[in-house]
Parts: sequence; C-alpha cells; structure tokens
Amino acid sequence: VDIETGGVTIEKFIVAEDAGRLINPMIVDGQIHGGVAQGIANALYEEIVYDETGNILTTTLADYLPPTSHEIPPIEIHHLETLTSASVTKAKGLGEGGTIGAPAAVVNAINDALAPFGVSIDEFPATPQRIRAALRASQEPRA
Amino acid sequence: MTEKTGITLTINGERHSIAVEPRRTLVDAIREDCGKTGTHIGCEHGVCGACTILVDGEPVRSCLMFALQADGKDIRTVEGLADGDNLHPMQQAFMDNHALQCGFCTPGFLMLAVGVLEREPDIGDDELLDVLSSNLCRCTGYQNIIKAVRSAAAAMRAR
Repeated sequence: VDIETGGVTIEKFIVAEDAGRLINPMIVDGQIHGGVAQGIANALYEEIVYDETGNILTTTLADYLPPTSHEIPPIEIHHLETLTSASVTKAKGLGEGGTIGAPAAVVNAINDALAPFGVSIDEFPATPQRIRAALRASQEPRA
Repeated sequence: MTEKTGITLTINGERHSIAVEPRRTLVDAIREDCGKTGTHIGCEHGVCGACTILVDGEPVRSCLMFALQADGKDIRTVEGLADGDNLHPMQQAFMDNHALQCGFCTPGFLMLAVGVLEREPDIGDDELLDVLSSNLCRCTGYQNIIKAVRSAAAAMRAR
C-alpha cells in the first residue's frame, strides 16, 4: 500500500482450491485465473455508485472499472484433489472459489499493511480514496 | 441524417459496395451490411476493445469510427487471420494456451495483438502488457492471454 496515494499493488497471488477430480487441468486453471481476477476486481476496483438523488454515476466500463491485464498479478495455483462421491465424475465445482476468497484475502493483506497506522478497511472496494480517508482520519488529533 | 451514401469497404481484400447513413458506425456496417460477424460489439463506446480491427494496419475501435471514414481504406478483421485451414500463429497460440473462455473478447484481442506485433515485432514484455491493457476480458484473468501473445510474438518473429 502506498501510504501517500492510497494505491494498492498486489505483488503475488497464491490460491489453492479443491475441485475434486481435475478432468481438464487446463480449463481448471483458466477458471481459477478468471475467478481470482473477478475477486480482485471486487476487492479493489469495481463499484456501482449512485449520487444522493439516485442517479447512477458509474455508467461506463471506464467508471465501473473492471481490471485490465495491468491490474491482475501473476497467480500461483495449487490443487487439492479430494474426490467426491456426490458426482459421477468425482469432480466438484470451481471458479467461484477465487471470486469468493480473493476479496477477503486482498483486503486482509491491505489491513495487515495498514496495521502500523492503526487503520483498517471494512468496505469494498478498497479504493485509494477510502484508504486515504481512513489514514487521514487516524492522523487527526483526538479531541 | 437518413440519406445514404455509397461507399466501398475493403475487408480482408474483399470489396463490399454498400450504402450507409452518415451515423452508421464501422462495426455495424461490417457486421450488418457486409455480414462479417466475427468482429464483436461490446460496450459500444470505446472502452472494452471487443470490436478492435485493423484499418490500414493500425488497431482501431470500430465502434468509434464511422463507416464513411473507412471508405477506401484497407480493413482487416478476424476472418482474415487464418490462411485457409492454417490458423494464424496468434490464433494457434490462443488455442494452445487456453487464452479464451467465452470467446467474446477474443477477436478484439487477436486483432490488437496482431496489429501491434506486425508494427513492432520486437516489442518488450512490459510494453506488450501496456498494449493488452487496452482491451477487457471477463473470463480469463488475462494470465493466459498474456502467455499466448508472448508465445505468438516469438512464433511471428521466427516466421
């Protein structure tokens, strides 16, 4: 976390998922990449914003801000393969795991970085504005 | 605005004589008037890059250009990449590296990458990442697209 700007850079992302039997490992990895990217998007970038009278302010993809190839870091994948008897192929679902796990992982990492300042973020996405606002609030002299 | 003008679009070397209203976007003309539906329309305001094609060799958002502006220019779309049954190295690399899932953004990424690598075959990895960040993909998380384009860059240089 850049304390001056509130900007966040993800240096590395490691993900482990248990998809049961991996029928096509190439597709499995692709699904995990995509899921993690959407989770990172949720954690740092994407938000639908309305003004106080209910007008939507994020009307284009440039405002809603899906991440590009620049924002998604290299993703390291590890597999657990616990076969399930609940399906014929012994495979489970996957893809959602990255989306669900990534936002918490990213914001926990941000909060770990912010811990020395006694600040934590509890709202998605953790935008530079929100991080700077939290830092500013912590630096104001207590009354 | 409703008066139509006769123009000729040269798409992948094939001439299409069509009549379009001045407000007709190039991508609509390519898809609707010329029947080439390989070029996809995503956001229609120049952010997502799904409609990227090559006009006189340069990657262009075809939703941000009027058909009239492309009259007489050399247009290349995804349909023109393969040589008969032989895929373009970029297409082959996308297949080999699983660089697409739903495939909606793929024609735009292919044309963007081919256009840039034809202009700058020795482009560095970081610059390539810059270039690819101009298009959006919702499925792949970009990892495999980056891998595919880097491997195609090597294949195109070797050609």
